[in-house]
Amino acid sequence: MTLHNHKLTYKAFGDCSLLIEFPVLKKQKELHALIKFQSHLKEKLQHKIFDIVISFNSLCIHFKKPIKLGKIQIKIEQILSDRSYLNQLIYPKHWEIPICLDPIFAQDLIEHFEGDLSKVMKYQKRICDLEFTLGFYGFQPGFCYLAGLPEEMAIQRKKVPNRTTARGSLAVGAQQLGIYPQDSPGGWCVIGKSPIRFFDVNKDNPLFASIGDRISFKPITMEHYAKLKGLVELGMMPLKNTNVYGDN
Amino acid sequence: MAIIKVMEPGFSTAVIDLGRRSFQSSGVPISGPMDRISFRMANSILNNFEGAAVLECTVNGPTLCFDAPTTICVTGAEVDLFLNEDPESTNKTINIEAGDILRIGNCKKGMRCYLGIKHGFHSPEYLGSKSFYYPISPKSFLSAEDELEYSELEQLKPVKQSRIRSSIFLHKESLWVVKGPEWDLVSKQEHKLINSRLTIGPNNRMGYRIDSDIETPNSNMFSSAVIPGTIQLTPAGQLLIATADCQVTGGYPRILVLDEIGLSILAQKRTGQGISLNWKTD
Repeated sequence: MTLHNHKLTYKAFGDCSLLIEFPVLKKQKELHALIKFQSHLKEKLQHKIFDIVISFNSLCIHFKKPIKLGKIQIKIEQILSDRSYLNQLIYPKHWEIPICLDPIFAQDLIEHFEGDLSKVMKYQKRICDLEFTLGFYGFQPGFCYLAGLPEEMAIQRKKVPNRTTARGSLAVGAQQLGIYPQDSPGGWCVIGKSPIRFFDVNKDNPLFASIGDRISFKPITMEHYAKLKGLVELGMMPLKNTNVYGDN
Repeated sequence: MAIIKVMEPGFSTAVIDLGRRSFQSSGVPISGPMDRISFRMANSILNNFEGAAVLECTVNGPTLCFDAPTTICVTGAEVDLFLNEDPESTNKTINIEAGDILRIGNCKKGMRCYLGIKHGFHSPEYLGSKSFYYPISPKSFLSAEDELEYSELEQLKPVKQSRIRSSIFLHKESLWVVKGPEWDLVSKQEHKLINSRLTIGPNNRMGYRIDSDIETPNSNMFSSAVIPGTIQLTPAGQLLIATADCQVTGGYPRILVLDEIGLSILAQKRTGQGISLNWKTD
């Protein structure tokens, strides 16, 4: 059985979870196949599971009761053998996220480039020229992992994490890009900061965007950052999105 | 609705139920009880439903004033317990009258005790659970002057004098583990991990840190799922045991996984105490 022509490996994870691993998915089409795979499994197994957590190279099914690896693998392969789930359509949106790249918000990146500000700005500009895909949520409530960072732009995780990485920080960890929705300890390299509230537990859906959505970053000045932050504190969501068509 | 007034909050006391199980794909931790065995026992003694919300009290407990009759019980760590300053016992039902003051003192053996109440605490739910976890709930711990709602009982049943002897597991040091998804990375160093004595380091509801002399192989992993009980190996060679409030994904190799009993035993251990990891056999 395969996912977008990638072989699947099944592993038991504790008593009640099944980990399905595959090579790292990088292409938009592959990520879309994974999202369809996840929602198809959720539908077929709905009464037996709590949730399904995906990442760029795995899918983890959290069952309500203990599982037997062999038996459950056969069941999953059965579910996947009907490939019609791949025909369902998904409708991603494109989000343009305002980001302030002032050196005050890019201390980690400055450290990474050993104080060479021209390299820092070049790196930041490249980030703003790229478009990313929201791959999955993890790490902490509403923390989104974005795919689409070129390999040569990867930055190693810190050996000793920052005590606090501020809410709204855009950061690079290995070949992944992520946004911190809350203040938290963090081992990733911060490259800028957004005034937007990315996770709001008071909303029916606390998340701002869905997996599969496209994300790009628009640089803003410190003044603009302060203005938007004021609006966010008043409960507004100054964030634009547009529909993306012809993506399936 | 009857009200408990929090007079003293204790070191870190939180409302806890079975947690948020269906929001892991939004990055939300489960936030169930740290010691599931004692959580279950509190609700069983009271004949509550399985997931009734309790207070999880860490290191030392709160002082609480009840404004209506109910029945409670305390399980988990061995703890000094006083009802209107008269000593009371754990692991049995205790009847409460309006105006009673319950004081839960220091945990003497173990680190966490559980205060169950008939029909559970009626705190607000956030994403389907009453468990405290900031920023999903407005705070992580109770503070003085907080109020907790519960159901008033019209008629109290006579207290059963029988008491469950449950604290045997507080003395246990051996935790059962199974192989984790990245076990192969460290399988040659098995002797440093399995059946060898390890010392508990800093810990909280997210996880327990344990120093080891394992050499961490180079692995630039992509982040993947983590469950409570996962033992990850950090680049600095530390073991990081994920517990109730753990991240739903992580980027360190997941070398071993503790079972639920192991997690409950661990939740009662403090910094400096010893444990050993042993293979779980069927």
